Amino acid sequence: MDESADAASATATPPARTEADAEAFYRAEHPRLWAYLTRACRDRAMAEEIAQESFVRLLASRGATLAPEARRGYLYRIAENLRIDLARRRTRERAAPVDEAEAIAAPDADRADAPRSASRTTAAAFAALDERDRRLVWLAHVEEWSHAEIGRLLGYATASVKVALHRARRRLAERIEEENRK
Amino acid sequence: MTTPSDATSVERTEAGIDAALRELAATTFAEAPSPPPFAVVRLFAERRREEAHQRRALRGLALASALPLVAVGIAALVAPLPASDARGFAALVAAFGAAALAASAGALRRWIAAGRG
Repeated sequence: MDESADAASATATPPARTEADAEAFYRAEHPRLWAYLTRACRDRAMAEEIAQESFVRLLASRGATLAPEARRGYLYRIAENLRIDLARRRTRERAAPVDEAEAIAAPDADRADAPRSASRTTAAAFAALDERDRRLVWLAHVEEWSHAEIGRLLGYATASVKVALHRARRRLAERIEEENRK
Repeated sequence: MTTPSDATSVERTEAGIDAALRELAATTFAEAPSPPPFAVVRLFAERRREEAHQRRALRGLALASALPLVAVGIAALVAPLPASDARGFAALVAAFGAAALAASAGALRRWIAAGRG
């Protein structure tokens, strides 16, 4: 989808201003945002915190009156900024002990008691990707965002998103293959 | 190094990536905690908005409090009074200045406290 199409769809949809619309948006988007953040940050507690704070900030801002597509972009932008802030703070504090850091690295991938299912293999392979690849793949293939939308959120050119996404998919395929060999 | 058989294998795996990601997404969504009640999030947002409004108001008050002092200072520079009137004028400026400084200092202190809170 190009810029003009995005702008047209954003203006064509009437902005959601009623409380019911806001609540429906919250109910639909909260789990999706949490899932994205969980897979991007590999930290469920952090994802939960960021998701809630993102909605608080969205509702307190004028972004809450945007059309749904634009509002979703605005919400994810808030979440991205919060995620970056928290990651920086965590790096500065270096509070997480080694064991905790390892648990964060693969939240559900390497639990010894869990059976090794296809989903677990994918989870392990996905967790092994670097952060940028995880965000790209999730937004493109789970959230089904356009390259332009992803570029706007992550600050890349649309063409760069396409190339980076192709490489990220390739790396994911290789990781899955490696996991299957284990 | 990637051998031809490895490459074929990777392509085969890649073909199944969409299905694998769909499954991963479904698993992740199923694990998502139920979100806090919307009313609670709305309440926090309203409080946040009120705080922002209060900060803006305090900033305005701080600026407005300093204005008389600035105005008197500019007037003194633009149109200085004759020496005979200067003592009375200086007293007036000092009184104005003290009042404005006290008010703006108070407003600034509240503004900073609100920002920290």
